[in-house]
Amino acid sequence: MIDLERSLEELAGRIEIPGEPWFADDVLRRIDEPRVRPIRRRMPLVVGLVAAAIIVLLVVPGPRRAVGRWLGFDSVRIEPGVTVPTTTTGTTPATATSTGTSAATSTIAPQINLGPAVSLEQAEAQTGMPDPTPAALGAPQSVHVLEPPQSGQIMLVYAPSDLVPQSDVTGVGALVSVMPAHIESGFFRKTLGNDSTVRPVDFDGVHAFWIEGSPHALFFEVGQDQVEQDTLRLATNTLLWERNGHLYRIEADVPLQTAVDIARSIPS
Amino acid sequence: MWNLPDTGGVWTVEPSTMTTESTESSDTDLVARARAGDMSAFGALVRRYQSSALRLAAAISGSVDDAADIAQEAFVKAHRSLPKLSDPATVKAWMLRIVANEAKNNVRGRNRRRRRDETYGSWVVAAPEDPEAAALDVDDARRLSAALGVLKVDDRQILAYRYFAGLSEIETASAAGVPVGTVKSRTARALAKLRAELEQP
Repeated sequence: MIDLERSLEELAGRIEIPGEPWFADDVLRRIDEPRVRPIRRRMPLVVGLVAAAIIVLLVVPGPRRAVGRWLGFDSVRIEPGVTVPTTTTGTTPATATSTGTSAATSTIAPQINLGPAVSLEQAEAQTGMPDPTPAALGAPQSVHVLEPPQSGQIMLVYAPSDLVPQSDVTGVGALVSVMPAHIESGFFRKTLGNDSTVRPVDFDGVHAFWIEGSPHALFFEVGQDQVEQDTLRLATNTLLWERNGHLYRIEADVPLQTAVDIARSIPS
Repeated sequence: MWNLPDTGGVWTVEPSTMTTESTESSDTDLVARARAGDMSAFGALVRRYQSSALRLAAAISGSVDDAADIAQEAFVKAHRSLPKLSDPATVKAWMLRIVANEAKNNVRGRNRRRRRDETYGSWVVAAPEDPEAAALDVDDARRLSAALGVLKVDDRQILAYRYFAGLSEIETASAAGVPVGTVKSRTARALAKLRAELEQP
C-alpha cells in the first residue's frame, strides 16, 4: 500500500508549472497596470455579436473566405497585397480635396490601402479633428484621411522603432487615429477572432478598451442611430478611448502599459 | 529612447532589474510595508508563497497551464484587499485561501468547456532526482494525478492545502475557515476516497 500523503507531497514537488520562474515579476507588473474594470453588461453583448458574426460566416459559405480573411478569423491574417474592401462596410481612403491632398502615398504601408498621404494641417482642416500626434512617438511617417465616417478620420502611420516594433503582417510600427465617434453609448462593438480579448480599462479618468489578438472589425456610433464599421489593420493590439467627443485609437504590437503611455502623450 | 511623460507610477523596469527582498523579513513586517505602498515587500510575499500558490491552483483546477493565471489573479486581488487583512501573521493562509477560491471559480467556468481528463491527465511530472528514494515513478504519478481529478472539488481543496501548498493543519484550518478537527476529518475522508479511486481496477 502506497504512502498517500508522501506520494501527494512528492507529486506536488514534481509537477512542472509554466511561468513559474517569472511569476512574481508578472504579478507586480500586473498590479501596476491601469486598473481593469470588471466586464459586466458589455460582455454578453460582445459575445452575442461574436456568435452572430460566426453564424453569418458559417451559413453564408460564398463570402465566408473573403470575409474571414478580412476579419482575421481562424488565423487568417491581412497579407501584403490584400485590399481592404471598399464597400460601405470597409474603411476607404477619403476622396481627396482639390487643395488638401498630395500625390504621394504611404511608403511604409502600401499594402493596407491608406490612400494618398496629406500634410497634418490639411488633415486637420479636412476633418475638423485635432492633431492626434503622441509626443511619445513624435512626427508620423505619413498622415492620411480615411472614411468612415463621412467627415473623415485622421490616421497617422509610424515606422517601426524601439517603442513600436514592426508588425509581422504589414511592416508598420503603429497606427494612431482620431475620428468623431463614440464608444460610451453602448454601440461600441467588435467581432473577435479566436485569439482576441477585449477589456475595459481606466487611465487618468478616461474609459478605454484594450483589445488583444487578431485583426478586428470595429463598430462605432457616429451619430443618432448611425453605426459605422471600420477595420483594425495591424493584426495586433489596440487601445480605444474617447475624449472630448473624439474616438482615439492606437494599433501597435505593444503591451497595454506602453499603449497607455503613448495615449497619455497625445495633447488634450 | 523615447522621452515619455509621467507614467503615474507605472512600472517600466525589466524583470531582471526589479528589486528583490530579503527572505529574512517576517510576514508581519512585509505586510506592514506592503500596506504602506512598498511593492518590493509585496513582491517578497509573492515570491515566498508562489510555489505553494501555483501548486494549490494546479491541484484544485487540474490545469498546470491555468495555474499561473489563477494565482496571478489571486495575488492581484490580495494586493487590493491587503488593508482588510485582520491578522498580518496569517497572511500565508489568507493569500492561499484567495488562490483556492480563484481556482474553484476556474473549475466552475472550465467544466462547461473542457473535460477534466484533459487537465489532470496532461500534467507533466518531472522524473525523480533519486529513483531509489522516490515514492512515485512516472506511471504512479500519472495515476495519482488522474485519481485526484476524479475527486469532488472540496476533497481536492483540502488535500491541496495540506500536500500541495504544504500548509499545516492549523494553517489549513485558518485558510479553510474551519476548526482543526474538521481539517483532520475532511483530510482523512478525502484520502480514503483517493485511495479507493486508486484501487479501482
